[in-house]
Amino acid sequence: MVVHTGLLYEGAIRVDEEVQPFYSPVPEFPDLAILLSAMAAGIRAVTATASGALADEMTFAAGPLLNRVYFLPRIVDGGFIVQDTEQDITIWNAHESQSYTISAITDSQPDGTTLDHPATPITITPETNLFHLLTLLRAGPPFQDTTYTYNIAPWSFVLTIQGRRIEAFLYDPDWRSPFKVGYSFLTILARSKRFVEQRRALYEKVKRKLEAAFWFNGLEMQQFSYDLRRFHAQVLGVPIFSEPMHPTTSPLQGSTFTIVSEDIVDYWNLRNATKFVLFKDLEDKTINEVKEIASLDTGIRKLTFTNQIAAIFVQAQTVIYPVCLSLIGEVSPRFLTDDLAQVELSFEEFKSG
Amino acid sequence: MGDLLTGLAGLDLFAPKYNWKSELSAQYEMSRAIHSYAGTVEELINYSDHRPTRLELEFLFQNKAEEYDFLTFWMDKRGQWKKFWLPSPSTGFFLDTPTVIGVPSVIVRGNRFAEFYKGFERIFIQLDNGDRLSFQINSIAQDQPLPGKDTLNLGAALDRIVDQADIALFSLLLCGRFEKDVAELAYITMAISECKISFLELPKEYPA
Repeated sequence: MVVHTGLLYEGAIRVDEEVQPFYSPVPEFPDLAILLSAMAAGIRAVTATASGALADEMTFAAGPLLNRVYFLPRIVDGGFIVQDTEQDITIWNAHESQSYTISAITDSQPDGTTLDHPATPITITPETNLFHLLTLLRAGPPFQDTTYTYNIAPWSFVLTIQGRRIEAFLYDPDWRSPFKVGYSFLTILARSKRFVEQRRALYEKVKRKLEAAFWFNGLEMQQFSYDLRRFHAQVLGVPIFSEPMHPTTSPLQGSTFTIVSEDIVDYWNLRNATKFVLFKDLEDKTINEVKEIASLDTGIRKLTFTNQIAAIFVQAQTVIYPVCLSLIGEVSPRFLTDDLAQVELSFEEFKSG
Repeated sequence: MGDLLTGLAGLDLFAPKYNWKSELSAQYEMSRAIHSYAGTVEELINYSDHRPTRLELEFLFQNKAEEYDFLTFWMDKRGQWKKFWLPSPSTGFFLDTPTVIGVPSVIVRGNRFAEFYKGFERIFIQLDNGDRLSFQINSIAQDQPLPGKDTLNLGAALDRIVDQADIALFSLLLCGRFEKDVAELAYITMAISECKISFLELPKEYPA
C-alpha cells in the first residue's frame, strides 16, 4: 500500500447493509485478514479457558467481523494537492464461502484523478483483498469533487475524493511600493465608560493579508488579465517576498531537500505559518514547483520536503519563497497606456480545516 | 550588567526601539460628562480618576531578527487580547542624584508626579548600554531630601550606580494592550520593514 505524507483521509466500513463509521488513526491500514485471524485465535483461546468446550462453536471473529464486504476508505481528502498522491482503495470480501462481483465502476467529475482497476465485471472470491490504486494528480480542476461508485450487488459503495489545488502566483512585485504583510487577529471587546474591559480572542492563529504592486506590460498584461479571471475562485500560493531563499545544493531535481544560503532562523513566516514553499526560476517563469515542507533545520539551513523535486532548476537562478495560501482580494489597476498598467493587489489568507 | 526587571507582576515588557523619524503622537481619552438643562448651571460628572493614554507608535525593524521578535510578541498577545507593559516614550523623570547600590529609592527632580501618584505605578529606566530597569513605586516623599526634589521609594533595591548621564529613557511604565487586531509590516527591502501600531492604556487593569 502506498500512502504519501500530506494525504489525509477518513474511511467508513460498509458492513453488509449497515454503515458503521470507522476512523483510522494512522494512514497505514493493516492487513485485516492477518489481524482478524490472530484475534479469532486469541479470543477462542480465552473463551475456551473461561467457558469450556461450548466456546469453540462461536468465535468473535466469525460473528461480527467476518462474512461481510469491506470497502476502505470511503472518503479521500486530498487537502491542498501540490503533487501526485497515491492511495490504495481496498475491497475485502470477508465472506468465508460466498463470491461477489463488481459489476460496474462509474465515476462523476473524474478529472484530476485516475483509478487503476481491471475491466469489469470483477469477481471477488471469498477471503480475498483487492487493491485499486487511486491517484490524485498535480494537474486538475481547482476544486476536486469526484466520486467513484462500485456496484457490488446487492450494494453500492461510493468513494468520494475531495481537495484543492494550489496555483502558484508567479509575478514579481514592484519594490518601489512596499510589499506589505498584515497579521490579524479578531477580538470581541466590551468597554465601559469607566474603562473596565472584557476581551475574548476569537482567532487562535493569525490570519495574514498580503499587499503588493505589480507592473504589467504587453503580453504579460494580457496573461495577467486572463489569469485574474481564472484565479478569482482559486487558492493561490502567494510568495512571501520578504523571505527569499537561494539554494546552495545542486542538482535540485530528484532531491528531497535543499540547503539555502540565508539565515532562516529569523524567517518568521517560514518557521511559523507556512507548509509550502515555491521554487521559481528567475529567468523562466514556466519553471516552478510548489513543495510541501516535511521539516526545517534552521541550524544548517536545510529544508526537507515530503517528496522529490520534479522540475529541472538551475541552482544559480532559482529562488525559493515560503507561500501563503490566499485568495485574491482587492484589485486596483492603473492603466498608463493601452498595454502598460500598474496593479495593486491584495491577497487574503485562506484557512482551511 | 544586564537587565533588572522587578515589579512587573508577571506581565511581559514590550520595550522596542521607537522610530523617531516620525513624530510619535498621543491622545488622552477623557471620561467625564456635563449635565445641565439649557440656561441652568452645569454639573460635572467624573467617571474615572485615571484617563487612558493612546499612543501611535512606529517601529523600524532594521533586520529580520528584530522583525521576528516583534512578530513573536504580537502572536503571543493576539492583537487586542492580552495586556503588557510599555514604557512611555516621553521622559517622565530626571534623576537628581546618582543611585546607591543596595538602596531601594531614587531621588528625582520634583515634577508634581507625587500629586497624581496612586500606588500602582512603575518606573522604567533604559540605560545607554542597553540595560533595562523596572521598579514599582511603593511611596513618594515629596520635597525630600530637599525642596524641589522627590524621593521615589521602590519595591526593590538598585544593584548598580546610575547617573542621569547614563540614562536614555526614564519614564513610567504603561499597562495596556494593542488597540487594533492588525499589525501591518511594510517592507522597504526584504530585511528592513516599518510597522505602525497603536497602544491603549488600560487604567483599570494595573496590577496592585
